[in-house]
Amino acid sequence: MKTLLRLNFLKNRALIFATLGMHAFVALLAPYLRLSSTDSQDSAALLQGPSLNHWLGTDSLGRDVFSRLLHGGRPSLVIAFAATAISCLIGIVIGSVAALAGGWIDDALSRVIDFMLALPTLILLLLISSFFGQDPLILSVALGLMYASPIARVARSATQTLLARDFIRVARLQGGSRISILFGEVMPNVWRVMFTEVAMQFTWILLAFSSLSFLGLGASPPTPEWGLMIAESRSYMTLNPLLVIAPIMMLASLVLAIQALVDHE
Amino acid sequence: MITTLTQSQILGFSNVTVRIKNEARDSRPILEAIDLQLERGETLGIVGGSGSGKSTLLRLAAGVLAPGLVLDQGEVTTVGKNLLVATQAERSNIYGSVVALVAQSIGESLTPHLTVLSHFSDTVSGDVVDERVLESLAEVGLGGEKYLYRYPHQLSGGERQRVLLALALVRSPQLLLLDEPTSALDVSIGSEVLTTIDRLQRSRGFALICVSHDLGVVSQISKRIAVMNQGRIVELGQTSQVLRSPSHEYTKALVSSIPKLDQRIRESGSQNNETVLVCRGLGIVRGQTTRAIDSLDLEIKRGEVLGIIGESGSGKSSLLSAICGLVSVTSGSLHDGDGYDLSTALQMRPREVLSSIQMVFQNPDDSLNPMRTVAQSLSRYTQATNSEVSSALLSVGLGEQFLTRRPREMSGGEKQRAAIARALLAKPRLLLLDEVTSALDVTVQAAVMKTLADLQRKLNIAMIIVSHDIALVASFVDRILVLRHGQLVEQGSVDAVTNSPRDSYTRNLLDISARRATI
Repeated sequence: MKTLLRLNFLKNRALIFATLGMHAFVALLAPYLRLSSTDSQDSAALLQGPSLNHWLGTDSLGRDVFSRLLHGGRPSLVIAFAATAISCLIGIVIGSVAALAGGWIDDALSRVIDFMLALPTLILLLLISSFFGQDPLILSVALGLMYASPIARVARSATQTLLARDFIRVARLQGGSRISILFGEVMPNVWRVMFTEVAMQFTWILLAFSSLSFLGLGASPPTPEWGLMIAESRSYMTLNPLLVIAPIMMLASLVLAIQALVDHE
Repeated sequence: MITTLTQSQILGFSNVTVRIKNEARDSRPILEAIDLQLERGETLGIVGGSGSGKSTLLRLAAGVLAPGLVLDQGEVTTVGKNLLVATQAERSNIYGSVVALVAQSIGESLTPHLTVLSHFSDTVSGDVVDERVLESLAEVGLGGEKYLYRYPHQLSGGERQRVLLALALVRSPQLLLLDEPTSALDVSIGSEVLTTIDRLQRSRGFALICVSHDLGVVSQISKRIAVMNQGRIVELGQTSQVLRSPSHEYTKALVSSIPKLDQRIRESGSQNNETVLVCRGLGIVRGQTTRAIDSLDLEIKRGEVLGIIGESGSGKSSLLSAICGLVSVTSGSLHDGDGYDLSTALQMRPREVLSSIQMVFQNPDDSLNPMRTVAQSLSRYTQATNSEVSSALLSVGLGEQFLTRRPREMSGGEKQRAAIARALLAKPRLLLLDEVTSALDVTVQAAVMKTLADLQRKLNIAMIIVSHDIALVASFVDRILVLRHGQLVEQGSVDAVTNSPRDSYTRNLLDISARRATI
């Protein structure tokens, strides 16, 4: 029992990096691997189990599940990266400006952050995507805006802590301007503190986009995407459980590996 | 196997070596070949610099080894037991009733949401609570029921330390372990706490180990002293013997590094009549209403070194902050030598006024940007060239190799030297030093002060040095100022203040300092 407990997968560095490496490899190189087409339908082979031709079987339209699975992370990852970058940019700028300016500017920005935090993210995303369609750019910007507020809040308090530190005082005594102190002293250190928060945000955005796809408002068919794959196949779960289990495993392993890495650092 | 202690012994270390887990065998261990026995009722002080292994040794005596450390060889026996392999049940029996440890950080050792009484209810059970608690609180000098229902934030630093002491002693342990019992306290309060500990030890007769970086502290309450350096006990003997005729090189350096009232580190230099700072009727209010400084008059000449002494809350840091512009002046006037009004906000000051007053802060870990190299930190705002940075570093005793180092690769003393070099690069006429050596080991402190003395003579700049250590200040400055509750209670030349102090607080500080020097 004790040895079993010691096999704590989330603390196994090699395993974390192997999982992340596998995901990076697949996401970057899936189009260049000699896989079956993700879209070609084989009406003679619907909902088949694993075979030599189709390693994980086929879905309800006779498409190769393995190939779709390897391609399925790309749309969510692209959007998650873009949205995280946007939320970081907005969040860190708002947060550190609020802390640096203080006074009524801080109050005003903090209330905006509070307001954003109070919005129900998923419902708002559903609204946006039903109004503006499933354009990846709009979705990235919307996700980026939605998820900027927690980053802004952490950035604000990180900046406040930093401002009380002596090396910032010395910079002021030696004539550093607010801007040069912000970018030269505060930002690099805020970024170091923010890494954890940002990595966690990335996983939340990844999950949010997959949830949208699952609800039919993220990636649009026939794009291979994990959330969408789960939605499309859940009626056939009993015929070929791999149809649902495989994309779930991919999504879960990626999210867990990122979170475990963050815990580790 | 357990090393047998004689009937009279309470603690035994035999050939104990502790290493960092998974570290190479040839690397320096945390503790190396420690042999140490403690008799019942005996008092032992352990003194050493940071990283000497003294705290590890103390924790080991309580059977605790920090995570990441392993006992490489040897045995630790506390009252006949090897506590390192004791079961949880055995430990909880022993802790409190046989061995008690008072950890260093008084700020974190009490639970914020529990009253003093609640802290005791875990240790003492049943109906006897109130009586026993009152009794032990009274013993540490916190008599009366009023303390029972106070929360930690309603206690002063000294009172917290006393509560911790009472908690440790309530189950009458045979061995009391103290880790830096006074390092977070003001000198006068620390001294009172030590007197209490000494009195309790004499009346109860428990054995005591006290760890401190301060030779003065351990010598006040222990008959024997162990001097530690780099994981080894380099000298062990009777306190008076060790202090009077130290035999090991490190002990000699340690003893000679302690600032003494009658021993100058710096000779008074040439002063001229050029004024660098004048303040008249200065008042500073912090927060809403707290008066940090109240109607203070002060004048400093070029090349003069002024020392300010005061306990925490006396307003000494506020004064420095106001002079350099980090805190705004509430009333009175503050001008530099050219008549520039220093009560203007920092952002409004012209560059040459800004550079003319520089400050070095207390905490070495906080004074350099952790993300930058020393060269970057030193040149970023001073616009100094590479060669200027190198020569400034050289003048504070740091070689070229430090240019590319980051703060995490430097010791506290090195970081503080770099911070001094950075202040000097701005070519100040007045340098403010806020407890710059209080976080450093005594030997390092002596070296940094020596460097400062050399620089002051060479550059002939004015300095204001703030410290809680009257001996350090007296050995360095030309003139002393004593602050209490924001008011000037004493002012004069070093000789005048140390020989015939007028204020009772100054007399008290001098007494404590003298007592330490003569032990």
